[in-house]
Amino acid sequence: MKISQYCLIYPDSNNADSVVLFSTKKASAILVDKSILTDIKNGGLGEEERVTLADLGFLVETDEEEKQELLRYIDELNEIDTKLSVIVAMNLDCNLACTYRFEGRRKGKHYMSPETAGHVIDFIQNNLTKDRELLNVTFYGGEPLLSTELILSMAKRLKGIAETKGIDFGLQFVSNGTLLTPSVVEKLKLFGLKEASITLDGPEAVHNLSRPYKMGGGSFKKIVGNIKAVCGMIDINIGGNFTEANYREFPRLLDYLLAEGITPDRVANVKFDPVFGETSEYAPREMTGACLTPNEPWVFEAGIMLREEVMKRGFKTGGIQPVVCAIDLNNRHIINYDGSMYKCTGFFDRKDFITGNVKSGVTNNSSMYNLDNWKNEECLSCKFLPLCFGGCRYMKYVRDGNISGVDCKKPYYEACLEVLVKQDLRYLASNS
Amino acid sequence: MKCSIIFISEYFLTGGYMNKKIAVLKKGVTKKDVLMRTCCHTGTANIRV
Repeated sequence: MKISQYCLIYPDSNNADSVVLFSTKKASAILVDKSILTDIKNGGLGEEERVTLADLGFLVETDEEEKQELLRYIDELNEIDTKLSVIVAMNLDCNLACTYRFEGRRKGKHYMSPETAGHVIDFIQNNLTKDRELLNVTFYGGEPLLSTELILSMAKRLKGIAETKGIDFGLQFVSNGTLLTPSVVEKLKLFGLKEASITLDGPEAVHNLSRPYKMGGGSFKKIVGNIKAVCGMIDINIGGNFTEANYREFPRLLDYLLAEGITPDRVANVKFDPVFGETSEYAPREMTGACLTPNEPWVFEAGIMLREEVMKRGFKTGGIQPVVCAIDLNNRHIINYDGSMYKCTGFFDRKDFITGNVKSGVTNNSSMYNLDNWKNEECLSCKFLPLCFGGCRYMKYVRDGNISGVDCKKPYYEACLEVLVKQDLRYLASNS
Repeated sequence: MKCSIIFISEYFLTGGYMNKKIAVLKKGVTKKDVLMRTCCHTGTANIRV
Protein backbone atom coordinates (compact mmCIF):
# COMPACT_ATOMS: atom_id res chain seq x y z
CA MET A 1 0.00 0.00 0.00
CA LYS A 2 1.10 3.61 -0.45
CA ILE A 3 0.38 6.95 1.12
CA SER A 4 -2.78 8.74 -0.06
CA GLN A 5 -2.48 11.61 -2.54
CA TYR A 6 -4.80 13.56 -0.25
CA CYS A 7 -2.57 13.30 2.80
CA LEU A 8 -0.76 16.38 4.06
CA ILE A 9 2.26 16.13 6.32
CA TYR A 10 2.85 18.95 8.79
CA PRO A 11 5.57 19.37 11.41
CA ASP A 12 4.67 18.70 15.05
CA SER A 13 5.61 21.88 16.81
CA ASN A 14 6.11 19.98 20.09
CA ASN A 15 8.38 17.24 18.86
CA ALA A 16 10.94 17.20 16.04
CA ASP A 17 10.72 13.40 15.79
CA SER A 18 7.04 13.36 14.88
CA VAL A 19 4.72 14.78 12.25
CA VAL A 20 1.00 15.44 11.93
CA LEU A 21 -0.77 13.71 9.04
CA PHE A 22 -4.10 15.15 7.87
CA SER A 23 -6.34 13.52 5.30
CA THR A 24 -8.38 16.02 3.29
CA LYS A 25 -10.47 13.08 2.08
CA LYS A 26 -11.62 11.98 5.54
CA ALA A 27 -10.69 14.92 7.78
CA SER A 28 -8.79 12.46 9.96
CA ALA A 29 -5.59 13.46 11.72
CA ILE A 30 -2.84 11.49 13.37
CA LEU A 31 0.42 12.22 15.07
CA VAL A 32 3.10 9.75 14.05
CA ASP A 33 6.68 9.02 14.72
CA LYS A 34 8.62 9.95 11.57
CA SER A 35 9.80 6.36 11.27
CA ILE A 36 6.24 5.44 10.25
CA LEU A 37 6.75 7.28 6.95
CA THR A 38 9.77 5.09 6.23
CA ASP A 39 7.83 2.00 7.28
CA ILE A 40 5.06 2.91 4.80
CA LYS A 41 7.60 3.32 1.99
CA ASN A 42 9.41 0.09 2.79
CA GLY A 43 6.34 -2.02 3.53
CA GLY A 44 7.43 -2.31 7.14
CA LEU A 45 4.14 -1.54 8.87
CA GLY A 46 2.59 -3.94 11.34
CA GLU A 47 -0.89 -5.28 10.53
CA GLU A 48 -2.64 -3.11 13.12
CA GLU A 49 -0.87 0.01 11.90
CA ARG A 50 -1.66 -0.80 8.28
CA VAL A 51 -5.36 -1.38 8.94
CA THR A 52 -5.69 1.77 11.06
CA LEU A 53 -3.91 3.99 8.55
CA ALA A 54 -6.04 2.59 5.70
CA ASP A 55 -9.28 3.05 7.67
CA LEU A 56 -8.37 6.65 8.37
CA GLY A 57 -7.69 7.30 4.70
CA PHE A 58 -3.91 7.63 4.85
CA LEU A 59 -3.08 4.47 2.89
CA VAL A 60 -4.40 3.36 -0.49
CA GLU A 61 -3.68 0.46 -2.81
CA THR A 62 -2.83 2.60 -5.87
CA ASP A 63 -3.13 6.22 -7.02
CA GLU A 64 -5.46 5.14 -9.80
CA GLU A 65 -7.81 3.40 -7.38
CA GLU A 66 -7.93 6.50 -5.21
CA LYS A 67 -8.54 8.70 -8.23
CA GLN A 68 -11.55 6.55 -9.14
CA GLU A 69 -12.76 6.81 -5.54
CA LEU A 70 -12.73 10.61 -5.81
CA LEU A 71 -14.40 10.59 -9.20
CA ARG A 72 -17.28 8.59 -7.66
CA TYR A 73 -17.44 10.70 -4.48
CA ILE A 74 -20.37 13.00 -5.30
CA ASP A 75 -22.34 10.25 -7.08
CA GLU A 76 -22.04 8.19 -3.91
CA LEU A 77 -23.22 11.10 -1.78
CA ASN A 78 -26.29 11.37 -3.99
CA GLU A 79 -26.88 7.63 -3.68
CA ILE A 80 -26.88 7.62 0.13
CA ASP A 81 -28.60 11.00 0.58
CA THR A 82 -32.01 10.55 2.19
CA LYS A 83 -32.75 14.22 2.77
CA LEU A 84 -34.88 16.61 0.75
CA SER A 85 -33.66 20.13 1.44
CA VAL A 86 -35.38 23.22 0.11
CA ILE A 87 -34.50 26.87 0.58
CA VAL A 88 -37.45 29.19 0.03
CA ALA A 89 -36.94 32.93 -0.46
CA MET A 90 -40.18 34.36 0.93
CA ASN A 91 -39.47 37.85 -0.30
CA LEU A 92 -36.65 40.10 -1.44
CA ASP A 93 -37.62 42.88 0.95
CA CYS A 94 -35.87 43.88 4.15
CA ASN A 95 -36.34 46.18 7.12
CA LEU A 96 -32.59 46.84 7.18
CA ALA A 97 -30.56 48.85 4.69
CA CYS A 98 -27.35 46.84 4.66
CA THR A 99 -24.47 48.34 2.76
CA TYR A 100 -23.42 45.12 1.09
CA ARG A 101 -26.22 42.52 0.78
CA PHE A 102 -25.64 40.48 -2.32
CA GLU A 103 -29.24 40.74 -3.48
CA GLY A 104 -28.27 44.39 -3.99
CA ARG A 105 -30.40 45.98 -6.64
CA ARG A 106 -32.59 42.86 -6.89
CA LYS A 107 -34.14 43.82 -3.57
CA GLY A 108 -37.57 45.41 -3.44
CA LYS A 109 -41.16 44.83 -2.42
CA HIS A 110 -41.22 41.39 -3.98
CA TYR A 111 -43.20 38.88 -1.91
CA MET A 112 -44.25 35.30 -2.41
CA SER A 113 -48.00 35.06 -3.01
CA PRO A 114 -50.21 32.52 -1.18
CA GLU A 115 -50.81 30.86 -4.56
CA THR A 116 -47.07 30.39 -5.17
CA ALA A 117 -46.68 29.16 -1.58
CA GLY A 118 -49.27 26.49 -2.38
CA HIS A 119 -47.25 25.41 -5.40
CA VAL A 120 -44.10 25.29 -3.23
CA ILE A 121 -45.86 22.87 -0.88
CA ASP A 122 -47.11 20.76 -3.79
CA PHE A 123 -43.58 20.66 -5.22
CA ILE A 124 -42.14 19.51 -1.91
CA GLN A 125 -44.87 16.92 -1.44
CA ASN A 126 -44.30 15.53 -4.93
CA ASN A 127 -40.57 15.25 -4.29
CA LEU A 128 -40.90 13.46 -0.96
CA THR A 129 -40.34 10.09 -2.55
CA LYS A 130 -40.37 6.88 -0.52
CA ASP A 131 -36.62 6.93 0.03
CA ARG A 132 -36.67 10.34 1.79
CA GLU A 133 -36.17 10.19 5.55
CA LEU A 134 -35.80 13.90 6.34
CA LEU A 135 -37.36 17.09 5.02
CA ASN A 136 -35.47 20.28 5.77
CA VAL A 137 -36.92 23.64 4.78
CA THR A 138 -34.98 26.89 5.15
CA PHE A 139 -36.86 30.17 4.95
CA TYR A 140 -34.77 32.85 3.40
CA GLY A 141 -35.11 36.37 1.95
CA GLY A 142 -34.74 39.41 1.95
CA GLU A 143 -35.91 39.05 5.51
CA PRO A 144 -38.14 35.97 5.71
CA LEU A 145 -39.85 37.08 8.91
CA LEU A 146 -41.50 39.94 7.00
CA SER A 147 -43.63 37.06 5.70
CA THR A 148 -44.34 35.45 9.07
CA GLU A 149 -48.04 34.77 8.51
CA LEU A 150 -47.45 32.96 5.23
CA ILE A 151 -44.54 31.05 6.76
CA LEU A 152 -46.77 29.89 9.64
CA SER A 153 -49.40 28.53 7.27
CA MET A 154 -46.76 26.83 5.09
CA ALA A 155 -44.95 25.36 8.09
CA LYS A 156 -48.18 23.91 9.46
CA ARG A 157 -48.96 22.17 6.17
CA LEU A 158 -45.38 20.95 5.68
CA LYS A 159 -45.26 19.48 9.15
CA GLY A 160 -48.53 17.68 8.48
CA ILE A 161 -47.18 16.25 5.22
CA ALA A 162 -43.99 15.05 6.92
CA GLU A 163 -45.98 13.42 9.71
CA THR A 164 -48.29 11.67 7.25
CA LYS A 165 -45.29 10.29 5.42
CA GLY A 166 -43.55 9.37 8.67
CA ILE A 167 -40.39 11.35 8.03
CA ASP A 168 -38.37 13.76 10.17
CA PHE A 169 -38.98 17.43 9.58
CA GLY A 170 -36.96 20.53 10.42
CA LEU A 171 -37.37 24.23 9.72
CA GLN A 172 -34.66 26.83 9.80
CA PHE A 173 -34.26 30.51 9.06
CA VAL A 174 -31.62 32.77 7.65
CA SER A 175 -32.70 36.00 9.30
CA ASN A 176 -31.33 39.36 10.28
CA GLY A 177 -32.70 38.59 13.75
CA THR A 178 -34.62 41.82 14.31
CA LEU A 179 -37.99 40.07 14.16
CA LEU A 180 -37.01 36.74 15.73
CA THR A 181 -38.81 37.33 19.01
CA PRO A 182 -39.71 34.65 21.58
CA SER A 183 -43.39 34.77 20.57
CA VAL A 184 -42.54 34.16 16.88
CA VAL A 185 -40.18 31.33 17.83
CA GLU A 186 -42.75 29.80 20.15
CA LYS A 187 -45.35 29.70 17.36
CA LEU A 188 -42.91 28.32 14.78
CA LYS A 189 -41.51 25.71 17.14
CA LEU A 190 -44.92 24.06 17.11
CA PHE A 191 -44.36 23.49 13.40
CA GLY A 192 -40.79 22.23 13.53
CA LEU A 193 -38.52 25.26 13.87
CA LYS A 194 -35.10 23.93 14.87
CA GLU A 195 -32.54 26.64 14.16
CA ALA A 196 -31.88 30.14 12.90
CA SER A 197 -28.79 31.73 11.38
CA ILE A 198 -28.44 35.35 12.41
CA THR A 199 -25.94 37.97 11.30
CA LEU A 200 -23.95 40.23 13.59
CA ASP A 201 -21.35 42.24 11.73
CA GLY A 202 -19.03 43.03 14.60
CA PRO A 203 -19.44 45.04 17.80
CA GLU A 204 -22.26 47.56 18.06
CA ALA A 205 -20.75 50.54 16.26
CA VAL A 206 -19.34 48.43 13.41
CA HIS A 207 -22.53 46.40 12.98
CA ASN A 208 -24.76 49.45 13.01
CA LEU A 209 -22.73 51.05 10.26
CA SER A 210 -23.28 48.15 7.88
CA ARG A 211 -26.76 47.04 9.07
CA PRO A 212 -28.86 50.08 9.99
CA TYR A 213 -32.65 50.07 9.91
CA LYS A 214 -34.17 51.50 6.74
CA MET A 215 -35.84 54.10 8.90
CA GLY A 216 -32.49 54.93 10.46
CA GLY A 217 -30.90 53.79 13.71
CA GLY A 218 -28.81 50.78 14.60
CA SER A 219 -30.17 47.22 14.73
CA PHE A 220 -27.50 45.72 17.01
CA LYS A 221 -29.22 45.99 20.39
CA LYS A 222 -32.51 44.58 19.10
CA ILE A 223 -30.78 41.58 17.49
CA VAL A 224 -28.65 40.78 20.53
CA GLY A 225 -31.75 41.09 22.73
CA ASN A 226 -33.60 38.61 20.52
CA ILE A 227 -30.67 36.16 20.44
CA LYS A 228 -30.50 36.31 24.22
CA ALA A 229 -34.22 35.64 24.50
CA VAL A 230 -34.47 32.74 22.03
CA CYS A 231 -31.11 30.96 22.26
CA GLY A 232 -32.51 28.57 24.86
CA MET A 233 -35.45 27.73 22.60
CA ILE A 234 -33.77 26.80 19.31
CA ASP A 235 -30.25 26.40 17.94
CA ILE A 236 -28.79 29.78 17.04
CA ASN A 237 -25.94 30.11 14.54
CA ILE A 238 -24.23 33.47 14.62
CA GLY A 239 -22.56 34.59 11.42
CA GLY A 240 -20.86 37.83 10.60
CA ASN A 241 -19.41 39.45 7.53
CA PHE A 242 -16.16 41.31 7.77
CA THR A 243 -14.19 43.57 5.48
CA GLU A 244 -10.50 44.29 5.32
CA ALA A 245 -11.17 47.52 7.20
CA ASN A 246 -13.16 46.12 10.14
CA TYR A 247 -12.23 42.49 10.85
CA ARG A 248 -9.91 43.38 13.73
CA GLU A 249 -12.93 44.73 15.61
CA PHE A 250 -14.80 41.42 15.65
CA PRO A 251 -13.21 39.90 18.81
CA ARG A 252 -14.91 42.68 20.78
CA LEU A 253 -18.25 41.29 19.58
CA LEU A 254 -17.37 37.88 21.07
CA ASP A 255 -16.50 39.46 24.41
CA TYR A 256 -19.76 41.40 24.35
CA LEU A 257 -21.76 38.22 23.70
CA LEU A 258 -20.08 36.50 26.66
CA ALA A 259 -20.76 39.47 28.90
CA GLU A 260 -24.41 39.39 27.85
CA GLY A 261 -24.70 35.73 28.81
CA ILE A 262 -24.71 34.48 25.21
CA THR A 263 -22.20 31.82 26.12
CA PRO A 264 -20.82 28.92 24.07
CA ASP A 265 -23.25 26.45 25.64
CA ARG A 266 -26.19 28.56 24.38
CA VAL A 267 -25.03 29.04 20.77
CA ALA A 268 -24.79 26.26 18.19
CA ASN A 269 -22.15 27.80 15.95
CA VAL A 270 -20.20 31.00 15.36
CA LYS A 271 -18.53 31.71 12.03
CA PHE A 272 -17.32 34.89 10.35
CA ASP A 273 -16.85 35.21 6.60
CA PRO A 274 -15.52 37.95 4.36
CA VAL A 275 -18.01 40.08 2.47
CA PHE A 276 -18.00 38.80 -1.10
CA GLY A 277 -18.49 41.05 -4.07
CA GLU A 278 -21.20 41.17 -6.72
CA THR A 279 -21.23 42.04 -10.39
CA SER A 280 -21.81 45.70 -11.19
CA GLU A 281 -25.28 44.78 -12.47
CA TYR A 282 -26.54 43.91 -8.98
CA ALA A 283 -24.02 45.22 -6.47
CA PRO A 284 -25.25 47.74 -3.93
CA ARG A 285 -23.78 51.13 -4.80
CA GLU A 286 -22.38 51.57 -1.30
CA MET A 287 -20.47 48.27 -1.26
CA THR A 288 -16.76 48.61 -0.55
CA GLY A 289 -14.09 46.35 0.92
CA ALA A 290 -15.51 43.11 -0.47
CA CYS A 291 -13.31 40.31 -1.72
CA LEU A 292 -13.70 38.35 -4.94
CA THR A 293 -11.74 35.30 -3.90
CA PRO A 294 -10.59 33.72 -0.62
CA ASN A 295 -7.08 33.79 -2.10
CA GLU A 296 -6.48 37.40 -1.06
CA PRO A 297 -3.75 37.62 1.63
CA TRP A 298 -5.84 39.77 3.98
CA VAL A 299 -8.54 37.06 3.93
CA PHE A 300 -5.93 34.47 5.04
CA GLU A 301 -4.94 36.63 7.98
CA ALA A 302 -8.46 37.66 8.93
CA GLY A 303 -9.95 34.18 8.64
CA ILE A 304 -7.31 32.50 10.78
CA MET A 305 -7.29 35.25 13.38
CA LEU A 306 -11.07 35.33 13.80
CA ARG A 307 -11.40 31.54 13.91
CA GLU A 308 -8.81 31.46 16.69
CA GLU A 309 -10.69 34.15 18.62
CA VAL A 310 -13.96 32.20 18.26
CA MET A 311 -12.43 28.89 19.30
CA LYS A 312 -10.34 30.11 22.20
CA ARG A 313 -13.48 31.55 23.82
CA GLY A 314 -15.05 28.10 23.57
CA PHE A 315 -17.61 28.86 20.84
CA LYS A 316 -18.27 26.02 18.42
CA THR A 317 -17.33 26.46 14.78
CA GLY A 318 -17.17 24.02 11.91
CA GLY A 319 -14.14 21.75 11.71
CA ILE A 320 -12.13 21.38 8.51
CA GLN A 321 -13.67 18.57 6.48
CA PRO A 322 -14.74 17.67 2.92
CA VAL A 323 -17.36 20.09 1.65
CA VAL A 324 -19.63 19.78 -1.35
CA CYS A 325 -21.79 22.48 -2.84
CA ALA A 326 -25.57 22.11 -2.78
CA ILE A 327 -25.48 22.52 -6.57
CA ASP A 328 -23.96 19.04 -6.83
CA LEU A 329 -26.70 17.34 -4.84
CA ASN A 330 -29.84 16.20 -6.62
CA ASN A 331 -32.16 16.73 -3.65
CA ARG A 332 -31.30 20.34 -2.82
CA HIS A 333 -33.56 22.99 -4.36
CA ILE A 334 -33.65 26.78 -4.09
CA ILE A 335 -36.94 28.55 -4.74
CA ASN A 336 -37.29 32.28 -5.32
CA TYR A 337 -40.32 34.30 -4.19
CA ASP A 338 -41.91 34.01 -7.67
CA GLY A 339 -41.62 30.21 -7.76
CA SER A 340 -38.64 30.06 -10.11
CA MET A 341 -36.09 27.46 -9.09
CA TYR A 342 -32.30 27.56 -8.96
CA LYS A 343 -29.46 25.53 -7.47
CA CYS A 344 -27.88 28.51 -5.69
CA THR A 345 -29.34 31.72 -4.26
CA GLY A 346 -26.52 33.71 -5.82
CA PHE A 347 -28.07 33.11 -9.24
CA PHE A 348 -31.51 34.57 -8.44
CA ASP A 349 -32.86 36.54 -11.41
CA ARG A 350 -30.15 35.18 -13.73
CA LYS A 351 -32.50 33.51 -16.19
CA ASP A 352 -29.88 31.18 -17.67
CA PHE A 353 -29.59 29.43 -14.32
CA ILE A 354 -33.26 28.62 -13.72
CA THR A 355 -33.75 24.88 -13.29
CA GLY A 356 -37.55 24.97 -13.29
CA ASN A 357 -40.60 26.32 -11.55
CA VAL A 358 -42.61 25.08 -8.60
CA LYS A 359 -45.65 24.66 -10.85
CA SER A 360 -43.95 22.59 -13.53
CA GLY A 361 -41.17 21.09 -11.41
CA VAL A 362 -37.53 20.70 -12.41
CA THR A 363 -37.48 21.03 -16.18
CA ASN A 364 -33.80 21.73 -16.83
CA ASN A 365 -31.03 19.57 -15.56
CA SER A 366 -28.28 21.44 -13.71
CA SER A 367 -25.70 21.30 -16.49
CA MET A 368 -25.68 25.11 -16.78
CA TYR A 369 -23.97 25.13 -13.38
CA ASN A 370 -20.97 23.37 -14.89
CA LEU A 371 -21.23 20.19 -12.84
CA ASP A 372 -18.08 18.04 -12.67
CA ASN A 373 -15.88 21.08 -13.36
CA TRP A 374 -13.27 19.54 -11.04
CA LYS A 375 -13.01 16.25 -12.94
CA ASN A 376 -9.71 17.05 -14.60
CA GLU A 377 -6.13 15.96 -13.98
CA GLU A 378 -5.06 19.19 -12.32
CA CYS A 379 -7.84 19.08 -9.71
CA LEU A 380 -7.59 15.31 -9.19
CA SER A 381 -3.91 15.61 -8.39
CA CYS A 382 -4.51 18.51 -5.97
CA LYS A 383 -4.25 17.50 -2.30
CA PHE A 384 -7.00 19.96 -1.41
CA LEU A 385 -9.63 18.65 -3.85
CA PRO A 386 -11.90 17.05 -1.19
CA LEU A 387 -12.11 20.37 0.67
CA CYS A 388 -13.14 22.23 -2.44
CA PHE A 389 -14.57 20.13 -5.31
CA GLY A 390 -14.20 23.03 -7.72
CA GLY A 391 -15.00 25.81 -5.26
CA CYS A 392 -17.88 28.27 -5.38
CA ARG A 393 -19.51 28.75 -8.76
CA TYR A 394 -21.18 31.95 -7.61
CA MET A 395 -17.84 33.55 -6.73
CA LYS A 396 -16.42 32.39 -10.05
CA TYR A 397 -19.36 33.96 -11.87
CA VAL A 398 -19.11 37.25 -10.02
CA ARG A 399 -15.37 37.43 -10.59
CA ASP A 400 -15.14 36.26 -14.18
CA GLY A 401 -18.61 36.63 -15.64
CA ASN A 402 -18.85 32.89 -16.33
CA ILE A 403 -18.61 29.57 -14.52
CA SER A 404 -16.45 27.67 -16.95
CA GLY A 405 -13.45 26.27 -15.11
CA VAL A 406 -13.12 26.18 -11.32
CA ASP A 407 -12.94 28.59 -8.42
CA CYS A 408 -9.52 27.32 -7.33
CA LYS A 409 -8.77 27.71 -3.62
CA LYS A 410 -5.31 26.18 -3.69
CA PRO A 411 -3.49 29.39 -2.67
CA TYR A 412 -5.86 29.76 0.29
CA TYR A 413 -5.33 26.20 1.49
CA GLU A 414 -1.59 26.34 0.93
CA ALA A 415 -1.43 29.43 3.10
CA CYS A 416 -3.97 28.47 5.78
CA LEU A 417 -4.71 24.76 6.06
CA GLU A 418 -1.89 23.81 8.42
CA VAL A 419 -2.97 26.47 10.90
CA LEU A 420 -6.66 25.57 10.54
CA VAL A 421 -5.99 21.87 11.09
CA LYS A 422 -3.89 22.62 14.15
CA GLN A 423 -6.65 24.88 15.49
CA ASP A 424 -9.04 21.93 15.15
CA LEU A 425 -6.63 19.65 16.97
CA ARG A 426 -6.14 22.11 19.79
CA TYR A 427 -9.76 23.06 20.32
CA LEU A 428 -12.06 20.46 18.76
CA ALA A 429 -10.23 17.18 19.30
CA SER A 430 -9.31 17.95 22.89
CA ASN A 431 -12.99 18.60 23.65
CA SER A 432 -14.23 15.40 22.04
CA MET B 1 5.81 -3.31 19.34
CA LYS B 2 2.58 -5.10 20.18
CA CYS B 3 0.21 -2.16 20.10
CA SER B 4 1.47 0.97 18.42
CA ILE B 5 -1.75 2.94 18.24
CA ILE B 6 -3.36 5.12 20.86
CA PHE B 7 -6.36 7.36 20.67
CA ILE B 8 -6.67 11.00 21.49
CA SER B 9 -8.02 10.67 25.04
CA GLU B 10 -5.19 8.35 26.01
CA TYR B 11 -2.72 10.66 24.28
CA PHE B 12 -3.80 13.61 26.36
CA LEU B 13 -4.10 11.60 29.57
CA THR B 14 -0.60 10.22 29.28
CA GLY B 15 0.83 13.44 27.93
CA GLY B 16 2.26 11.91 24.78
CA TYR B 17 3.19 8.80 22.91
CA MET B 18 4.53 6.66 25.72
CA ASN B 19 5.89 3.83 23.58
CA LYS B 20 3.38 4.20 20.75
CA LYS B 21 4.13 5.24 17.18
CA ILE B 22 0.72 6.51 16.09
CA ALA B 23 -1.65 8.76 18.00
CA VAL B 24 -5.07 9.14 16.40
CA LEU B 25 -6.05 12.76 16.92
CA LYS B 26 -9.22 12.83 14.81
CA LYS B 27 -11.01 9.81 13.46
CA GLY B 28 -12.48 11.82 10.59
CA VAL B 29 -15.92 12.02 9.04
CA THR B 30 -18.22 9.74 7.08
CA LYS B 31 -20.06 10.60 3.88
CA LYS B 32 -23.22 10.99 5.98
CA ASP B 33 -21.40 13.67 7.99
CA VAL B 34 -20.43 15.40 4.76
CA LEU B 35 -24.08 15.47 3.70
CA MET B 36 -24.98 17.21 6.96
CA ARG B 37 -22.58 20.05 6.22
CA THR B 38 -23.44 20.72 2.57
CA CYS B 39 -22.67 24.32 1.80
CA CYS B 40 -25.05 26.77 0.26
CA HIS B 41 -24.03 30.29 -0.49
CA THR B 42 -26.44 32.74 1.07
CA GLY B 43 -24.97 35.98 -0.06
CA THR B 44 -22.13 36.62 2.27
CA ALA B 45 -21.89 33.41 4.19
CA ASN B 46 -22.58 29.74 3.90
CA ILE B 47 -25.24 27.75 5.66
CA ARG B 48 -25.77 24.05 6.09
CA VAL B 49 -28.62 22.64 4.04
